[in-house]
Amino acid sequence: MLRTRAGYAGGNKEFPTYYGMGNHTEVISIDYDPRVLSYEDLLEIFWSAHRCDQINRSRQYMNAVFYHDETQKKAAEKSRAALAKRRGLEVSEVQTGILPVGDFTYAEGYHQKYYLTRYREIRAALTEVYKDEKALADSTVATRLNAYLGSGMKKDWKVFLEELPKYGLAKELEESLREAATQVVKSGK
Amino acid sequence: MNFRLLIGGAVAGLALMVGDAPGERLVKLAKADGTVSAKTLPLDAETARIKFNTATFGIG
Repeated sequence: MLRTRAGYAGGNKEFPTYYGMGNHTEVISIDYDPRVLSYEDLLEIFWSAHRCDQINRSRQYMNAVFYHDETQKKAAEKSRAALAKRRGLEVSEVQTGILPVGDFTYAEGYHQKYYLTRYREIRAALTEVYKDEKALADSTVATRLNAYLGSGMKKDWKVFLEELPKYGLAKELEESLREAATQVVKSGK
Repeated sequence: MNFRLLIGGAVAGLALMVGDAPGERLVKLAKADGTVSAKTLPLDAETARIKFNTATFGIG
Protein backbone atom coordinates (compact mmCIF):
# COMPACT_ATOMS: atom_id res chain seq x y z
CA MET A 1 0.00 0.00 0.00
CA LEU A 2 1.52 3.26 -1.08
CA ARG A 3 -0.68 5.97 0.37
CA THR A 4 -4.14 6.71 1.71
CA ARG A 5 -6.09 9.92 1.95
CA ALA A 6 -9.57 11.04 3.00
CA GLY A 7 -12.00 12.72 0.67
CA TYR A 8 -15.41 12.98 -0.92
CA ALA A 9 -16.67 10.87 -3.81
CA GLY A 10 -19.65 9.25 -5.45
CA GLY A 11 -21.74 12.40 -5.79
CA ASN A 12 -22.14 15.09 -8.38
CA LYS A 13 -21.53 18.33 -6.49
CA GLU A 14 -18.61 19.95 -8.26
CA PHE A 15 -16.74 21.39 -5.29
CA PRO A 16 -17.69 19.46 -2.15
CA THR A 17 -16.40 20.45 1.27
CA TYR A 18 -16.99 18.97 4.69
CA TYR A 19 -19.76 21.47 5.37
CA GLY A 20 -21.24 21.24 1.91
CA MET A 21 -20.64 17.86 0.34
CA GLY A 22 -24.00 17.50 -1.41
CA ASN A 23 -24.63 13.86 -2.24
CA HIS A 24 -21.00 12.81 -1.88
CA THR A 25 -19.82 10.26 0.67
CA GLU A 26 -16.83 10.49 3.01
CA VAL A 27 -14.35 7.97 1.64
CA ILE A 28 -10.83 6.72 1.87
CA SER A 29 -8.76 6.51 -1.28
CA ILE A 30 -5.99 3.93 -1.30
CA ASP A 31 -3.15 3.85 -3.80
CA TYR A 32 -1.54 0.43 -3.99
CA ASP A 33 1.08 -1.37 -6.00
CA PRO A 34 -0.81 -4.08 -7.93
CA ARG A 35 2.39 -6.15 -8.10
CA VAL A 36 2.28 -6.48 -4.33
CA LEU A 37 -1.39 -6.24 -3.41
CA SER A 38 -4.54 -7.07 -5.33
CA TYR A 39 -7.87 -5.30 -5.42
CA GLU A 40 -9.41 -8.52 -4.15
CA ASP A 41 -7.13 -8.36 -1.08
CA LEU A 42 -8.42 -4.88 -0.33
CA LEU A 43 -12.02 -5.96 -0.83
CA GLU A 44 -11.54 -8.72 1.72
CA ILE A 45 -10.21 -6.24 4.26
CA PHE A 46 -13.05 -3.86 3.46
CA TRP A 47 -15.72 -6.51 3.96
CA SER A 48 -14.17 -7.53 7.28
CA ALA A 49 -14.02 -3.90 8.46
CA HIS A 50 -17.76 -3.23 8.58
CA ARG A 51 -21.16 -4.88 8.95
CA CYS A 52 -22.46 -5.43 5.46
CA ASP A 53 -26.03 -6.07 6.63
CA GLN A 54 -26.26 -2.72 8.38
CA ILE A 55 -28.51 -0.18 6.70
CA ASN A 56 -26.57 2.89 5.63
CA ARG A 57 -27.54 5.77 7.86
CA SER A 58 -26.92 8.51 5.32
CA ARG A 59 -25.27 9.26 2.03
CA GLN A 60 -22.48 11.06 3.88
CA TYR A 61 -21.68 8.07 6.08
CA MET A 62 -22.19 5.08 3.89
CA ASN A 63 -20.61 1.66 3.55
CA ALA A 64 -19.78 1.35 -0.11
CA VAL A 65 -17.24 0.22 -2.65
CA PHE A 66 -16.65 3.04 -5.10
CA TYR A 67 -15.35 1.39 -8.23
CA HIS A 68 -13.05 3.11 -10.69
CA ASP A 69 -13.74 0.91 -13.72
CA GLU A 70 -15.70 -2.11 -14.89
CA THR A 71 -13.00 -4.53 -13.71
CA GLN A 72 -13.29 -3.21 -10.16
CA LYS A 73 -17.08 -3.25 -10.39
CA LYS A 74 -17.10 -6.92 -11.39
CA ALA A 75 -14.57 -7.82 -8.68
CA ALA A 76 -16.65 -6.03 -6.06
CA GLU A 77 -19.85 -7.76 -7.16
CA LYS A 78 -18.11 -11.12 -7.17
CA SER A 79 -16.68 -10.57 -3.68
CA ARG A 80 -20.09 -9.38 -2.42
CA ALA A 81 -21.71 -12.58 -3.72
CA ALA A 82 -19.01 -14.71 -2.08
CA LEU A 83 -19.41 -12.83 1.19
CA ALA A 84 -23.20 -13.23 1.15
CA LYS A 85 -22.81 -16.95 0.56
CA ARG A 86 -20.32 -17.29 3.43
CA ARG A 87 -22.65 -15.48 5.79
CA GLY A 88 -25.83 -17.20 4.66
CA LEU A 89 -27.32 -13.99 3.27
CA GLU A 90 -29.08 -13.17 0.04
CA VAL A 91 -27.09 -10.71 -2.03
CA SER A 92 -30.03 -8.33 -1.72
CA GLU A 93 -29.58 -8.38 2.05
CA VAL A 94 -26.11 -6.89 1.74
CA GLN A 95 -26.64 -3.18 2.32
CA THR A 96 -23.13 -2.11 1.33
CA GLY A 97 -23.27 -0.21 -1.93
CA ILE A 98 -21.26 -0.77 -5.08
CA LEU A 99 -21.23 2.56 -6.86
CA PRO A 100 -19.17 4.52 -9.41
CA VAL A 101 -16.55 6.73 -7.78
CA GLY A 102 -16.88 9.73 -10.08
CA ASP A 103 -14.55 12.56 -9.09
CA PHE A 104 -12.58 12.19 -5.89
CA THR A 105 -12.09 15.45 -4.01
CA TYR A 106 -9.46 15.64 -1.28
CA ALA A 107 -10.89 16.39 2.14
CA GLU A 108 -9.63 19.48 3.93
CA GLY A 109 -6.11 19.30 5.28
CA TYR A 110 -7.26 19.07 8.89
CA HIS A 111 -9.05 15.80 8.03
CA GLN A 112 -5.93 14.21 6.58
CA LYS A 113 -3.52 12.11 8.65
CA TYR A 114 -5.61 12.72 11.71
CA TYR A 115 -3.41 10.93 14.22
CA LEU A 116 -0.52 13.19 13.32
CA THR A 117 -2.46 16.12 14.74
CA ARG A 118 -1.64 14.65 18.15
CA TYR A 119 2.04 14.96 17.33
CA ARG A 120 2.47 18.64 16.60
CA GLU A 121 6.22 18.43 16.12
CA ILE A 122 5.88 15.76 13.44
CA ARG A 123 2.92 17.40 11.75
CA ALA A 124 4.71 20.74 11.73
CA ALA A 125 7.83 19.20 10.25
CA LEU A 126 5.86 17.50 7.48
CA THR A 127 3.90 20.66 6.83
CA GLU A 128 7.20 22.45 6.43
CA VAL A 129 8.32 19.86 3.88
CA TYR A 130 4.95 19.77 2.12
CA LYS A 131 3.39 23.19 2.28
CA ASP A 132 0.68 22.11 -0.16
CA GLU A 133 -2.15 20.19 1.55
CA LYS A 134 -2.52 17.81 -1.38
CA ALA A 135 1.16 16.92 -1.21
CA LEU A 136 0.92 16.13 2.50
CA ALA A 137 -2.18 14.02 1.85
CA ASP A 138 -0.27 12.20 -0.91
CA SER A 139 2.77 11.49 1.25
CA THR A 140 3.66 7.86 1.86
CA VAL A 141 5.77 8.93 4.83
CA ALA A 142 2.83 10.78 6.40
CA THR A 143 0.52 7.83 5.67
CA ARG A 144 2.86 5.41 7.41
CA LEU A 145 3.57 7.67 10.37
CA ASN A 146 -0.17 8.20 10.80
CA ALA A 147 -0.77 4.45 10.86
CA TYR A 148 2.11 3.65 13.21
CA LEU A 149 1.40 6.44 15.64
CA GLY A 150 -2.36 5.89 15.47
CA SER A 151 -1.93 2.27 16.48
CA GLY A 152 0.19 3.28 19.45
CA MET A 153 3.06 1.27 17.96
CA LYS A 154 1.36 -1.81 19.31
CA LYS A 155 2.90 -4.59 17.30
CA ASP A 156 4.91 -3.02 14.58
CA TRP A 157 7.42 -0.93 16.46
CA LYS A 158 10.33 -3.08 15.32
CA VAL A 159 9.31 -2.65 11.69
CA PHE A 160 8.85 1.06 12.32
CA LEU A 161 12.34 1.44 13.73
CA GLU A 162 13.76 -0.40 10.73
CA GLU A 163 11.83 1.79 8.30
CA LEU A 164 12.43 5.11 10.00
CA PRO A 165 15.85 5.91 8.45
CA LYS A 166 14.38 5.38 4.98
CA TYR A 167 11.86 8.19 5.46
CA GLY A 168 14.54 10.81 5.02
CA LEU A 169 13.32 13.00 7.86
CA ALA A 170 15.53 15.57 9.55
CA LYS A 171 17.85 13.83 12.00
CA GLU A 172 16.40 15.62 15.03
CA LEU A 173 12.85 14.58 14.10
CA GLU A 174 13.98 11.06 13.32
CA GLU A 175 15.60 10.82 16.73
CA SER A 176 12.51 12.16 18.42
CA LEU A 177 10.36 9.53 16.67
CA ARG A 178 12.81 6.82 17.64
CA GLU A 179 12.61 7.98 21.21
CA ALA A 180 8.78 8.08 21.12
CA ALA A 181 8.63 4.54 19.75
CA THR A 182 11.10 3.29 22.30
CA GLN A 183 9.15 4.89 25.15
CA VAL A 184 5.91 3.25 24.00
CA VAL A 185 7.64 -0.09 23.90
CA LYS A 186 9.14 0.40 27.34
CA SER A 187 5.81 1.47 28.81
CA GLY A 188 4.22 -1.70 27.45
CA LYS A 189 1.23 0.18 26.00
CA MET B 1 3.56 -3.19 7.56
CA ASN B 2 0.10 -4.51 8.30
CA PHE B 3 -2.35 -3.35 5.62
CA ARG B 4 -5.13 -3.29 8.17
CA LEU B 5 -3.06 -0.85 10.19
CA LEU B 6 -2.70 1.50 7.26
CA ILE B 7 -6.37 1.33 6.43
CA GLY B 8 -7.22 1.68 10.10
CA GLY B 9 -5.22 4.89 10.26
CA ALA B 10 -7.07 6.29 7.29
CA VAL B 11 -10.47 5.17 8.47
CA ALA B 12 -9.88 6.74 11.85
CA GLY B 13 -9.34 10.00 10.06
CA LEU B 14 -12.72 9.59 8.42
CA ALA B 15 -14.41 8.68 11.67
CA LEU B 16 -12.99 11.80 13.21
CA MET B 17 -14.10 14.08 10.40
CA VAL B 18 -16.61 15.57 12.77
CA GLY B 19 -14.46 18.13 14.51
CA ASP B 20 -15.04 21.82 14.29
CA ALA B 21 -13.25 23.53 11.48
CA PRO B 22 -12.07 26.94 12.44
CA GLY B 23 -13.06 29.57 9.92
CA GLU B 24 -14.60 27.05 7.54
CA ARG B 25 -15.59 28.66 4.26
CA LEU B 26 -16.43 27.48 0.83
CA VAL B 27 -13.22 26.52 -0.93
CA LYS B 28 -12.26 24.60 -4.01
CA LEU B 29 -10.45 21.54 -2.73
CA ALA B 30 -8.02 19.56 -4.86
CA LYS B 31 -9.33 16.77 -7.03
CA ALA B 32 -7.56 13.51 -7.72
CA ASP B 33 -5.98 13.61 -11.16
CA GLY B 34 -3.80 10.50 -11.06
CA THR B 35 -0.71 12.43 -10.10
CA VAL B 36 1.15 12.30 -6.79
CA SER B 37 2.29 15.62 -5.39
CA ALA B 38 4.55 14.39 -2.58
CA LYS B 39 8.06 13.90 -3.89
CA THR B 40 10.39 15.80 -1.58
CA LEU B 41 11.22 13.12 0.97
CA PRO B 42 13.22 10.17 -0.39
CA LEU B 43 10.58 7.54 0.41
CA ASP B 44 7.86 9.68 -1.16
CA ALA B 45 9.99 10.22 -4.25
CA GLU B 46 10.54 6.47 -4.47
CA THR B 47 6.88 5.52 -4.11
CA ALA B 48 5.77 8.30 -6.47
CA ARG B 49 7.61 6.46 -9.24
CA ILE B 50 5.65 3.25 -8.70
CA LYS B 51 2.75 2.63 -11.05
CA PHE B 52 -0.29 2.34 -8.84
CA ASN B 53 -3.96 1.47 -8.84
CA THR B 54 -6.51 3.20 -6.64
CA ALA B 55 -9.31 1.73 -4.57
CA THR B 56 -11.96 3.83 -2.87
CA PHE B 57 -14.24 2.84 -0.02
CA GLY B 58 -16.82 4.45 2.20
CA ILE B 59 -17.03 3.14 5.74
CA GLY B 60 -20.04 4.60 7.45
